[in-house]
Amino acid sequence: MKNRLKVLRAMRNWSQAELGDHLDVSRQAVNAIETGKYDPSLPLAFKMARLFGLRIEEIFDDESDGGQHG
Amino acid sequence: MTNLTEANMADPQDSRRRPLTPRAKRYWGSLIGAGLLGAAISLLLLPLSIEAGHNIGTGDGGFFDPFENPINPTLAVLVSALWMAGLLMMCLIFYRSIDEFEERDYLWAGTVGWYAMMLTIPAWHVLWMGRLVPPVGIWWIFAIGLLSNNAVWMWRKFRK
Repeated sequence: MKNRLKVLRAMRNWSQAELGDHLDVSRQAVNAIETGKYDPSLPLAFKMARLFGLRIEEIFDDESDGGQHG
Repeated sequence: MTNLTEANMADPQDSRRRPLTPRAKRYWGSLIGAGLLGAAISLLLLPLSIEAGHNIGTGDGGFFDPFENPINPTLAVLVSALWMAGLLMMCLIFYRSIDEFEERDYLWAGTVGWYAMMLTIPAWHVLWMGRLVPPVGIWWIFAIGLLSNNAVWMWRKFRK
């Protein structure tokens, strides 16, 4: 699943490890999510959304729905 | 306004030493604690077992022979209880501190460790039935499971 995590992190000038600290997960988890190798659980996705003050769908892009959002 | 380029979107990590978070402290503490517990028990038992071997004249030079000799039964109960309680406690701390991605790593490592034993034991036993190899050694199996588990866990944990 594509996401904007890398951009959002860069806007705050955080390292992957620092973002991991904010989310209470490992640097490897952040790296795997950023590179699309791993899709986070719903609780972790909500945590990211709260951290960046965005909605989940503003961070993650579900390519399977053809980009149509209600 | 922040100008985002590939350069500053790259992970600016590792030049800054940061203190471990409480979660990371529990994570590494549990792993190091389990390792130290196993090392301490081995170091405690090794001289006692070697001495017992000398007293009864056993040991043909096998790698794990020093751990095959009889020791004091009370000590055996105490050490096994210490191992079970200690390792259980470390496992609980570990499980409560890993994140969801590390949980996947742990499952991968556990699965590979399991299959390493499932492949090895029957094959080794059948070869022994043909008297081609010595009988299955429990500590060799333990080592195979542990090493394959650790190899996969470290590969997944430390890869970039």
